[in-house]
This record gives sequence, C-alpha cells and structure tokens, in this order.
Amino acid sequence: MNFWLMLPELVVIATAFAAGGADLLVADRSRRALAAIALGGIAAAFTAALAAPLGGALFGGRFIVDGAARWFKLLFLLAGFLTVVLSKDLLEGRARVRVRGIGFPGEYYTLLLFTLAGMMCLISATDIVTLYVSLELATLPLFVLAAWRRDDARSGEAGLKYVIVGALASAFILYGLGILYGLAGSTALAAIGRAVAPSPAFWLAAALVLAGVGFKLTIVPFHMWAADVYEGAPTPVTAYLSVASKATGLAFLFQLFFRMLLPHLEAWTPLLAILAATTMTLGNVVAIVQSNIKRFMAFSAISQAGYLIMGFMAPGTDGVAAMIFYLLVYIVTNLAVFACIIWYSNETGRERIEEYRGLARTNPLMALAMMVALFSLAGIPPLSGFVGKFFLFSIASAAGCHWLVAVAAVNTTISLYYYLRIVRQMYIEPAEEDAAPLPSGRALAAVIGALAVAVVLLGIVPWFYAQAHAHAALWTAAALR
Amino acid sequence: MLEFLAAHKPGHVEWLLLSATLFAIGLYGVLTRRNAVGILISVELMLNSAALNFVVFNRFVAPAACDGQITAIFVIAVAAAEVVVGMAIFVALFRHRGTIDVNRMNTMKD
Amino acid sequence: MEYFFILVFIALSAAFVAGGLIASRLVAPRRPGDVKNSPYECGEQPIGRTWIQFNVGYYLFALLFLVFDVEAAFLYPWAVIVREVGLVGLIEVGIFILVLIAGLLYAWKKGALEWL
Repeated sequence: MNFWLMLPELVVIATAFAAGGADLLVADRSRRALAAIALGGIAAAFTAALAAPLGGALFGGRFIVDGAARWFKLLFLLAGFLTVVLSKDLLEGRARVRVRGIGFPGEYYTLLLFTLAGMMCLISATDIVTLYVSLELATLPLFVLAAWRRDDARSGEAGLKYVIVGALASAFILYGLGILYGLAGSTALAAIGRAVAPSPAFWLAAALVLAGVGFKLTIVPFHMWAADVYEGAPTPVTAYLSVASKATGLAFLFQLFFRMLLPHLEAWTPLLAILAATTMTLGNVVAIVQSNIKRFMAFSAISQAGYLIMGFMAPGTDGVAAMIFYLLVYIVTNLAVFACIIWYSNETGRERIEEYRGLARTNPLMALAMMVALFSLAGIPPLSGFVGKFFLFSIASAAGCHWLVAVAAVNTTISLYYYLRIVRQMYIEPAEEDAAPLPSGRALAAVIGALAVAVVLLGIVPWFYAQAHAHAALWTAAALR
Repeated sequence: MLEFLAAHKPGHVEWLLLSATLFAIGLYGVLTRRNAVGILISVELMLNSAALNFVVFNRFVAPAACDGQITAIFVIAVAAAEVVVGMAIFVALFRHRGTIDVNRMNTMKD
Repeated sequence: MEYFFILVFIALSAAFVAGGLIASRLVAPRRPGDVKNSPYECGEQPIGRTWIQFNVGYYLFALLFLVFDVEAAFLYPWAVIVREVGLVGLIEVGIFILVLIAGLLYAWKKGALEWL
C-alpha cells in the first residue's frame, strides 16, 4: 500500500483537525493564525498533489490517482485557497461594515477543509461506497457554511433550503446507485459500466443519479434553489459555492459518465445537449432581470454550468481536457468577480447592481479587474473565458450538435449584454457627489490583482491547456485500455 | 391466505416493492409537508429505502460479497449526519424567526 | 417458515391491543365528570398548555448521543470478525473511535456539555 498517493487528502484532513484544535487553544487576539494554518495546509496539499505519482491505486482499487483526478484536485485546492483568503477579512472582523453573527474562523476553516477533503476523495473514488461518502463529506459542511450567520434570517433560510434540497438530491443519487448495484452485482464503478446493458431499470437508475447531480450542478430544471442560497449565504461562502459546489457536481458527473458509463456515453449525447442548452438559456435569460449582484451571479453560474457539461459530449481526451481547462478558467474568473464583490460589500455593505455606479471613478483598478473578469465570463477574446468556451464549443461541434453550438453562441451574446450592465454602472454612470476612493486590504488587493492577471494569462498562454490535455491523454490511455 | 403466507418467503420482488413504496412515501412527504422537520423525516425515509435496496440486492444478486451491507451501514451514518446538520440549522432558524414553515421561507424573492 | 411466526406474532399483538380497547369500551361503565376528563399528571392539577418548548440543551445532548449511537453500527460488523482481522483491525477501530472522541472533546471544550 502506497499511502503517498493519498498524501494530499491526508494533509487537508490533518490541517482541518489542526485548525479546529488551534481554535480551542489560541486566544481570541491571535485568531489570525488560523487562516495561516489553513492556507499553509492547502498549499502543502497542493504541493503534495503536484508531486504525487500520476497513476496508482489504493485499497484494492477503491481509490485511484490519475491525470484527470490530479487536475481536479489541484483545482479544488486552488478554489479552497482563494476562498480562505477572501473570507479572512470578514471572519476576523476587519470588514469596514460590521456584519453581525459572522466569526468563528476556527470552525469555518475546519468545515471548509473538510469539504475540500471530500471533493478530493470524490474524484479519486472508484467505488459506490467511497463515492457516496465523499460526496456527502463534500456537501454536508456546505449546508452549515451557508447558514453561517446565525442571527441573520436570510442566511438561516439559505441553509434550510440548501439542506433540504441537498438531502433530497443525495437520496435520489443513492437510490439510483442502489439500482445500478443491483443490476451489476458490484460496487466498483468500472465493473458496473461493463456489466449493465441498456434496460428500463438502467435508464431509471441513470435518470435518478443524473437528477441528483443536476441539483448539485444546478442544471435546469434542478436549479431553483441556487438563487436563494447564493443570496442568503455569506458572500465568501457564495463564492465558494459557485465554484466548489459546481466543481463537485462536475467531478461526480465525471465519475458517473467517464469512469462508469463510458461504454454507453454515446446514448447520452442528445439528452446532455438538451440539458446544456436549457441550462445556459434559462440562466442567462433570468440573470438579465436580477438586481442583487449575488443573485445575479447565481444565474450567471447556472448558465456557466450549462457550458461546462458540454465537455461530456466527447468521450475522450479532448472532452476531458476542454472541461478541466474551462473549470480552471471558471474558478479563476468567477472568484475574481467575487473577490471584487466581497471587497465592495466589506467596505460599503452594498450588494445591489446599481450601487456599483461610479466605481471606475473612485477605484479604477478594482473596476478594471472586475471588468476584465466579467468580460472573460462573457467570453470575449482574447480573455481566458473565450478560449475555454471555444474548446467546449468545438467539442459539441465535433459531436455533431451544431444546433447546440448555435444556441451557445446566442447565449454568449445575451450574457455579454447583462455582464455589460455592471460594467456600465461602474464606468458610465456618474459616481455619487461625495464618493471617496475606498481602501482595500493588502491580501485582498493582491488576490484580485493576481486573479485578474491570471484571467488574461490563461487566455494567451497555451501552456495550461497543453498540460491539461497531456494529463487527460494519460488518463484516456489508461481508461480505454 | 395463511397457508400461502406460511409457504411463501418474500423474494426480491416483494422487498423491492417495499423499498419503492418507502421511497414514494418519502417523496410524497417532501412535496407535501410544510414543516421543515417533517421534510427532513421524509428525506430520511427515502435514504433508508435506498439503503434497503442495497441490502436486498446484496442478498439476492451478489450474496458472495458484502458490499451492499457495508454501503447500508455507511448510509445510516451519513443519514444521521444529515439529520444533525439539518436540525442544527432548523433550531438556529427557529430561534430567530419563530417558524420553520417552508411556505414562509420567502424573504429573498425579487 | 420463520416468517409465519412473525406474522402470527403481529396478528396476536394487534389482537391483544384491539381486544383490550374493545372490551373496555363494551364492559366498562361510563360516568364522565370534570375531574375525570382532565388529563392525568401524577394526580396533580395540570397547569398551562401541554405544548411546551423543550430546552435546546436536550437537543445538544441528543446530537452528541447520536454520534456514538451510529458508531455502534460500525462496531458490530467489526466485533463479529474481531479474531480474523486481528491487531490491524483493532488499531483501525481505535483510530475511528479516537476521531469521534476528538469530536466529543471539542464539543466539551466549546461548552456544549454545560447545562444552560
């Protein structure tokens, strides 16, 4: 047994315990150390994941490491690291606008790290038991995080809705997995994929699992919880939900389609195309009329999920690589937008879109970073969002779904319109009379700057996509053998 | 009737019907209950029906290994964790709002 | 065959309950009065409504109890094969219980066990 393969997960779990334990021991004044512990642990896990071998199995093949799994893990860790940085100011009470009922950084980081560990185990799991348990480990702490502001009714309401929908989704997934187990007589994903043949029971099971994952990934028609949960949760948690919960859903779908149902994937292409088309269209159309920026980002995230699942239409290296690359782009870009939102809400407490007016006058650099990120989400060349979308669209095109490419292109145009609404508020609308430049913390400013640069670099430097493609090729070579 | 029942052992069909019924009852409860705790109870019913599925398939499809039973144990543990998290959130919300009626959870509509 | 006994058992227990209720309805004399209609609380006059809120402290204890309750579900399968899995199994179960105890200690230190 080569436990080095599991080192990243073990480091994350150890860090979670360390953060929780340190919370008991340190005095209230030195709570800053907790963020340092969390950041250090995630960085160490990132290094470990980079250094880990690119192939191998543990526990009789129930836990595997391969090129695709490593990329997912690195992306999860990246999202976790950035979220800790974004949460720091609010949790340590350094936001200018006092938010009541937020705090408890020790528990917060512990739960965040547990979700990270769950997500990392999820992408390595090759067995129904480990798959299900890690999915729950990745989502259960998120319910608590969404309800973090104990004396805020909206946060509690977000938590209530999230816990009900999440539990319902996991019941669907579990029932579907149970039927698959019954059809195949094995809990190993690959064995199930080989043993099942298309039959009514198989389609029922697959539909149940897909519905459950649809809830997690906010695929239309299972998206309705997202807006309320995103709006009610504390903003850093919303940022984390928008990238991490989505990445978890994508990882689970990856497990389902690529590790389990690879032999039957062709049959899914039409359904996936329809789901992708409705998801991106509905997300876009509803986003237009939103006035709260967190709610707006919720619908934007729904439409992005529609783009993301296009990668499943090609069961091979190209599909995996395009999906992983777009996930990377999406994490960087969306967190860049959320970093600006968090900064603005920390400084002013404002969350409505029209309250962003004149930001370019008072804080030109912040407005520039936010504009770059928004344009990347819309997919304007040469930013990374365009490149990522281009690869995904070419997957759909290669799969023969030209109508989907047309729908996606129309959607990109619609999304440009509503992302421009924010840019218009920042750049064209006049600032208030007495508006003064808002200060910004050093860590937050550094993250926003780095993310904005990354949004551009990912678009013009082909190295990242080449790496993702190379590792995905390693995975396909092993999976199709 | 009695002779039939005495001679007839429930097979996988009966067990699967039972689990499907449990799942349907749970789903009905989720859709009709207004109290969040009631919804959580109904979800537990659905989770347990899925766990029952695993045990039944273990017994009738793959009796050589015990994967299904192991899964059922993990499902019990996960369901317990889900209830704990859900109830904690409900209690916190109840203290603040004085209700956990899901029909009144509409403070965030635009 | 063994299911037959369960069926008989269910039928018998149902008959026992129903029989008692029906017999008392048929045989017992009925003379209702104010005192007799009031709910019985150990012979005391009932005060206030029966819908009272429980202290949240009970909930915390139930929560901590649940952890160790579910733990038993994992210990049973281990206990059945304790000899076969030997020392390795013992160590693994030890780690498992230690993690749970860490959670209990955490709750203790955070004051969850203080009765409010």
